[in-house]
Amino acid sequence: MGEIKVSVSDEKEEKFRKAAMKVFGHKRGSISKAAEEAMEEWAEKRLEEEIDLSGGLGDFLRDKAVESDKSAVEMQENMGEAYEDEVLD
Amino acid sequence: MKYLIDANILIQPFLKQDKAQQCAELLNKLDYGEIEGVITVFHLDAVGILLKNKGLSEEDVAQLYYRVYDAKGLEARYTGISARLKALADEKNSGIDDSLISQAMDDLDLNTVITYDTDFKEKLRITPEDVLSRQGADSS
Repeated sequence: MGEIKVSVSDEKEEKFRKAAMKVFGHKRGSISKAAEEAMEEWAEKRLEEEIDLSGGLGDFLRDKAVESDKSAVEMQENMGEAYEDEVLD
Repeated sequence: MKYLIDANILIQPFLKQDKAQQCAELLNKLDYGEIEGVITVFHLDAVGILLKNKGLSEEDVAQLYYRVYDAKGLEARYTGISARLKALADEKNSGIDDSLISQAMDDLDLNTVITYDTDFKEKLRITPEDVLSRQGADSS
């Protein structure tokens, strides 16, 4: 079982607890059951929505491109060296 | 055929240089599932950090991760601590990132890495241009 800790306003918390008790009763686990149902519904709905990912991954990076005097391979080599300096030394 | 994708392939389109267009085209094809590839999470993290240091916003770095996660033909795979240990013990000592590529190729049973890094043996590496032209020939 996963655990998610969330912060909400007092007002929303009270409303949610009230609704959870109404549906699942005043017993242990009712809040979790209600939260699971709410999350499932929300996630399903959002996943069905088309997120604007117009253009592919390559176009996304091209749109953000910057000038550089180093090639990608040189930058990668520096990254490898930085990792070795900082993590391994 | 499934390829391993080196970090420089994701970095190149972010740089206003030659080869950016070819890399972008290759990444688009991976995104749409027209080509299949694998990138290690180590290399993806390295790309994220590098591009952030070059000015990519945190929101866009998150978008980069999401797009890789969502890409139909691109899979991000974890390499465990044992792969790092093997990479570090690599006698050729070609650097941790290159050694991890070699290690990932062994572990994931992949024969070819798409890269511009000429440190890899010629028979193991291929450039985006070669992949695109090979794909064009296959579909014609």
